[in-house]
Amino acid sequence: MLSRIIKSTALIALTTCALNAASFNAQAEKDKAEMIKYFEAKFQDPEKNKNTFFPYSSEDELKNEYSKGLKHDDFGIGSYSYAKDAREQYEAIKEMPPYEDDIDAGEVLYKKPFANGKSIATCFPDPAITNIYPYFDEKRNELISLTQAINECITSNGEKAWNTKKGDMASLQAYMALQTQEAGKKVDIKIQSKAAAEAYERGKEYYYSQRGYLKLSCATCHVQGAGQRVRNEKLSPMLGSVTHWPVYRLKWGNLGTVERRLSGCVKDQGQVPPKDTSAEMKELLYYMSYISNDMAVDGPDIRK
Amino acid sequence: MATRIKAKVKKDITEVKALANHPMLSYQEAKRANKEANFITHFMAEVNGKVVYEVSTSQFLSKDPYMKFSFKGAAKGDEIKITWKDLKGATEVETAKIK
Repeated sequence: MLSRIIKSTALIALTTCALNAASFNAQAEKDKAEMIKYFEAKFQDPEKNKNTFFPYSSEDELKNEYSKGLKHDDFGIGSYSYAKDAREQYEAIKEMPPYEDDIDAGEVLYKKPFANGKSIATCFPDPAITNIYPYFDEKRNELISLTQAINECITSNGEKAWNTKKGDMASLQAYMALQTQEAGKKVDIKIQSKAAAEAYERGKEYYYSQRGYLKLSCATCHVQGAGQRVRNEKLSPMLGSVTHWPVYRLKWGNLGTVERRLSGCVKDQGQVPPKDTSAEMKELLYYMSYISNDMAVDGPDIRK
Repeated sequence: MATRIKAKVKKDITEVKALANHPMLSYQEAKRANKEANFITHFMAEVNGKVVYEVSTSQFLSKDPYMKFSFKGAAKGDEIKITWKDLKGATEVETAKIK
């Protein structure tokens, strides 16, 4: 009980300290800079960095299976940026990616009129906007994720909301993500108020909290463990983890949203995942997206 | 259920990438999913009446098979015709222009 009081006081003190800074995103900017520094240092030369970053890998593995000299934007393609063999497979499949039909289906959905004559295009006149989600809506005092915004558009026009993990939602997001990518947009998340900064901090806390039956946090695998091998694959990096959604995952055999993957991962850790449009899920996405600010949007994409 | 075809000619070699939409269920997979087994058994590409690629396939290929092949002797603007047949007898023909 006492330790909980101390922990929450410390957290409040830390938050207040951070917020006394000139702008609300000062702490977030620091976190982002630290994360970029960490990843660039880690993958500068995995072979040389064995003792600092890859204590469990063999020298042979580090020499032959990892790319080096990676910079900020390189991490957008996830573990394929440093896993050489997986990169080859990835590039081969990108020649004729299996999500092309889904993009076409998404375009149809974007323009298809609802019963009342309006369409998704009415809500989102410019489809190239996936890079600003999630954003903090000051008036409603809540975060708005892309999935939520799309479903709110649909239900406010009298239609039934879509499944938030796959199907039409994923196809539409694939179309919008491609437009965003082709427009050359970068992830552009803003923190412009105290409430937004607090939401960011809650997302960060979720990311670093240990959970499930192995007491792993997101960071254990995707920051500390990024690049390390689990069975036959190398763990993906936290930096750039949100740039490429929605993703055609070979394991699923179809396209899925970022919420599908995040909740799947939490479930794999043995915990009930937060609901797709819950505050917890959106805060987590907010934190992850802010850290990937200024990276090119490269969705939709393919993953194993 | 259209087949996507990308065909490009460079110098004298035409490279074709084709993705066929097909569930490709092997007998074992079909039994597990309680569906009927079905997979592409024959895949053929023709340009200007001549067969440039022909392959007998079976249940070893997975869903939405992707074929990539190259050949000589075609020019830009020629039409490539891809035909495939599956176990149940369905056929699909798709054409595209070589760029």
